[in-house]
Amino acid sequence: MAAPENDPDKVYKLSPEHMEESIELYLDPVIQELRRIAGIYRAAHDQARAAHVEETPGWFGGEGNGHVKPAISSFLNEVTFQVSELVGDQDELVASLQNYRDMLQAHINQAVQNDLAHADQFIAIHRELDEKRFW
Amino acid sequence: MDLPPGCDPIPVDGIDPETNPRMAKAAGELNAWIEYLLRPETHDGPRVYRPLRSPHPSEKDTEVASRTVPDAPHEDPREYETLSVLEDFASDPGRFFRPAQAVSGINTLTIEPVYLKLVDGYLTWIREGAPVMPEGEANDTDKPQQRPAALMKYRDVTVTRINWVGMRKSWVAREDVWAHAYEGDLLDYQMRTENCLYAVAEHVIRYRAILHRAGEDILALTEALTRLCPRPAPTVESTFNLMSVVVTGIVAVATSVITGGSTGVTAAVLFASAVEMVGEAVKTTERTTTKELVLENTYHLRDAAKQYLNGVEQIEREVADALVDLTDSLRRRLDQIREARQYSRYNESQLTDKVPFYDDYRRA
Repeated sequence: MAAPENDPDKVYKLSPEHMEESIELYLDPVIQELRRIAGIYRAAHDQARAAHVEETPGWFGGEGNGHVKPAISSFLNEVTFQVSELVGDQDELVASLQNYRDMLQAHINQAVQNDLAHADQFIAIHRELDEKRFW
Repeated sequence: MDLPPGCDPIPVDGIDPETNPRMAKAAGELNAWIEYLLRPETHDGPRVYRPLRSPHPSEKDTEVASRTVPDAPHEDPREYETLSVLEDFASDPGRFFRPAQAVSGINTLTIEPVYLKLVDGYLTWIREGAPVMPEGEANDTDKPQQRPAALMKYRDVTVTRINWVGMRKSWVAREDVWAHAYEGDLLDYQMRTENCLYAVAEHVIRYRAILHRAGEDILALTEALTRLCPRPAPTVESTFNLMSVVVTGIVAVATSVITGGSTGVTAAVLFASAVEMVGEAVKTTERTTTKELVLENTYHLRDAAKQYLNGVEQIEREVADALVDLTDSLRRRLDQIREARQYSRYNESQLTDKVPFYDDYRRA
C-alpha cells in the first residue's frame, strides 16, 4: 500500500527536470533505434519483393525441368508478404512509442505550467499581503 | 578429371563459373564426354555394335572401349550398326544438365543483403558499451496469461524495462500505473516482432541450405558419371555411393541467426549458417530422411547414365517439394509467434493482437 503522499489516486507529482532528462537518456534512443530498424526491415521487404517480381538471378536458378523455379517464386512471395506485415507492425510500434513520448511531454509541460501558475499565485498572494500591510 | 582425347571442357549454359565454379567445371567436363561419346564416327573410342539381323537388336548390343580392327565382324556394316554408347540420349543431351541448371546460379551475395536486414534488431541485440541484462533475468514480463516464454528463442537482453521504470520515478499519478502496463506490453510486442523477423531469416538460411545441399549432391553424381565415361571405366570406380540427406528434411532442422561470442552477439553469416545446418542435418536426421546416392559401374554406360538421370531428376523434384514445405513452415512458425504475441491490456481479460497504444490503457 502506497503512503498517502505517494498514492496515485490522491496525489499528482512529477519532477519535470528529472522526467525530461530521463526521456532523453532512456526513451529517445529507443525510439531512434526502433525507427532505424523499421527502415531496415522496409528495405529488406523492397529487396525481397524486387527479387520475387524480377526473378533476380542469385535468388533464382535456371529453368531446369520446371519444378524448382515456381517453388522459389512461392517461397519469395510468402517472405515478401510476411515481411510486409511485419514492417507495418514495426511502423506502428514506432508510432506508439512516439505517441507515448508526446503524452509524457504533455505531462511535463502541464507540470511546468502548474508550477508557474502556483508561483504566480504565490507572488500575487505575497503582493496582496504586502499591500494590506502597507495600508 | 580425365577428358576425352584432344577435347577441352565444354561450358554448359546456365551454369556460371563465377557463382558455381565447381559445378561449372564438372558440368563442362561431362559435357565434353557426352559430345565425344555421341559421335563415335569421329574417333576410335567407345562405341556400341548392334547386330542388324537379330530379332531384338538392342539386347545384343556390344559395348567396346575402342574400335576393333577394320576387318573384324563388328565393323561390317551389313551385319552391325555402330552407335554411340549414349545413343538413347542423343535426341536430348541437355537432359543431363537441367537439374544442375535448376539449382545453379543461387548466389549467397545476392541473398545476404536481405538476410542481414532481417536479423537486425534492438531488444534482442547486445550493443557495444550498452548495459546488458544478466542472462538468467533476460525475460519478458511475468504475467499470468503470458504464453510459454520458451517459445521465444531470442530474448530481450537490454535493460530498457528497468530504465523506463527509473524514467518515471518522479511521477506519482494514475497515468504512471497505466504507463507501466503499457511499457511492458509494448516491449514484449517488440521482442516478439523481432523474433518474427528472425524466423523469416532462419527460413532464408534453410532456403540456401536446401539449394546448397542439392547442388552438392548433383555435383557428386556428375563427377561420378564423368569418372565412368572412359570405357571401360576404371575398376576402382566400381560403385559410387554417398550418404546424403533428403533436402525436404532440412526444412525441420534447427538453425540460429544470432551467434554469441566473447565480444557479444553477431548475425551469423548466411552461407556459413547454411553449410553448418546441412552438416547438422546429415548428422542428426532420422534414417527416413537420409539417402544413399548411388551410381553403379555397369557394363553399358547408358545404364549408368539412366541411373544418373534418375538420381539428379529426383533431387530436383525433392528441392521443389522442400521449398513448398519451407513456405508452409514459414507461415506456421509466424502464426505461432503471432499467437504468442497476443496480450491482454491492463484491466482487460480479452486477448488482442494489436500493437499496444498508451491511449488504450488510459481508457481501460
